[in-house]
Amino acid sequence: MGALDWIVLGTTLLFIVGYGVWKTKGSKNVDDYVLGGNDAKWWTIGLSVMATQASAITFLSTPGQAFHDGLGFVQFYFGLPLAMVVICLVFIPIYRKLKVFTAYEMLEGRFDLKTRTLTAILFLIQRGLAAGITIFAPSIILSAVLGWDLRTLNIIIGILVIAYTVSGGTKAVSVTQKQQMFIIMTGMFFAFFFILGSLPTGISFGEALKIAGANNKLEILDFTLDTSNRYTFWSGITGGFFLALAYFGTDQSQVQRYLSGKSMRESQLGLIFNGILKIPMQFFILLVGAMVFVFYQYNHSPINFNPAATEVVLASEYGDDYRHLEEDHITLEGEKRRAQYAFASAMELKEYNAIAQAKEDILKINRQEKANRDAAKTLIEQANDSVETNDKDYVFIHFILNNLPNGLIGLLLAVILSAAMSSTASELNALGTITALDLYKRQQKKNKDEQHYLKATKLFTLLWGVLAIFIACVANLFDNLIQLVNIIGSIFYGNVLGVFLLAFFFKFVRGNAVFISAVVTQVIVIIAMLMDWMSYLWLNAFGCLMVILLAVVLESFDGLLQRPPVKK
Amino acid sequence: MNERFEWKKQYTVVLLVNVLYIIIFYLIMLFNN
Repeated sequence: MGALDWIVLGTTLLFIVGYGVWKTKGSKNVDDYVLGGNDAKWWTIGLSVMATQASAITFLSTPGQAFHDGLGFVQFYFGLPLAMVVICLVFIPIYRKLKVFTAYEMLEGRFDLKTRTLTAILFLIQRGLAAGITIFAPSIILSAVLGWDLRTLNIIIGILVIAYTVSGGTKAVSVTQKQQMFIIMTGMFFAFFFILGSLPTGISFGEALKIAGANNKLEILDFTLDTSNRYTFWSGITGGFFLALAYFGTDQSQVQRYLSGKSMRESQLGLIFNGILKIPMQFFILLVGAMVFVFYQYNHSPINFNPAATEVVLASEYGDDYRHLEEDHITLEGEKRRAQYAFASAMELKEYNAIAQAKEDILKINRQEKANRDAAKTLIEQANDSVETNDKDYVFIHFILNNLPNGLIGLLLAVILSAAMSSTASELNALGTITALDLYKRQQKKNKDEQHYLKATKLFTLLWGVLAIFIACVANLFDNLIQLVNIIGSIFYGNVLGVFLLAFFFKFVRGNAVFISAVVTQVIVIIAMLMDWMSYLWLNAFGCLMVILLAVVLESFDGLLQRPPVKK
Repeated sequence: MNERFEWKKQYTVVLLVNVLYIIIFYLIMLFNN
């Protein structure tokens, strides 16, 4: 990293934070702080919703996913537009009609206080942990490749986010998210065109696509019903739909974004904006990854992109074996370059036999390369089984640091840190709001004045920020914490979605039945996870169906007890 | 009534645009494999 990179990175981040604090200081009341005074336009809501979902891991991991496994991951988002339509038609009109500040407030009106408190607490556990991981995940990667101190990086990201989120609330979150999205998309476009410009003469974008296709990286759609494939068209449409419905419809970090809309229409248009742009945006990020793959067909790449893993294995007794693999890898790279040139020239001359032959050669070399990469992973695991062998999170950052010119490196690092900040800000904003309004204010016997609750919301936002930094700092003491957080998410998400679906679609079900079902479901889902009954990804659907079924049965049973069928 | 019709049209457009994306993805796959 050169001086120019530091200037670009520092200026960008400080400008966003400074502007956010300056532009939104002085919230007068809770409404101003929590709902941004209800004056957000649809494009602000749309950008804010997209920025909240896109965390740093989206930009670090997604291109790496495309590099290794192709563009199939985009199918995961196929259910999202339909979920947006359902939320616009069912969720938003009810939230707006009841003029709620939080999603869980609606549950008190529909059911009772204990159901509201239960769902709010489930949210706090899950989001509180996730906020720490949103800071930790990019920090661990950046500290590994740049040699920065992990703890310092966690604290810097945390303090920058806390500065504007605590002072300006929802308005500061959405104002900064607009700028962050601008930086993110500008950076990704620059990276994309830089890669195209760095390909050998004669390799245009069209040819680059053909090369990616010849290497099976463009298998975007998979219509098979094979359940062992995680990303298929069908799993995207069904699983993706439920996940998006739960996330955008019931997670306060998202609900708070569109509740800040000037009118119901602005909120709905904001989500429609997301429904139209989300898939192309994800496709574009994946396409950048596929272009990184094409770039490395002509340029040297390491056999494993994680520098910490390479260091560990080289210092171990497996160091010599690893070095042999690296030598093999370099020989293969030479062969691969020759085969790629042969493929490109055969394409240009439209010699179909030569194209088929070159394609076969490339596939053969790539199979060998993949086998070498897998062997390298095995050696790393043998050297130290606590080191992360899956290097997909490191592919894009390795490309950025080793190939982009000065200035652009700083911009891309600003992209990653902006993404981390935009997600964390929404999370802290939601955590502070839920703690202050759903728990603190609701449990008070006597209502205090507006200023008191405004101060309380700010204080809770600050406390959650400090807790998130603390979680990020201790996160590397635990193995596989990121996966643990995903598992915790799956344990609670389905249950909470089920409670909301009961509120919207099962008018006859009442508070007691829902509360008992939610508690029982939660216990059973935790047992299911501990006993390993199913993959944790299925816990969402299981929890959702279970709570609905239990509540309907309980309510019907209760109804029968109170009004036994009349005997004729 | 008219407003409702307008909204139906907008939701249909969202879904149709996404179907169009999937068709484009299919064509990209078809022409580059």
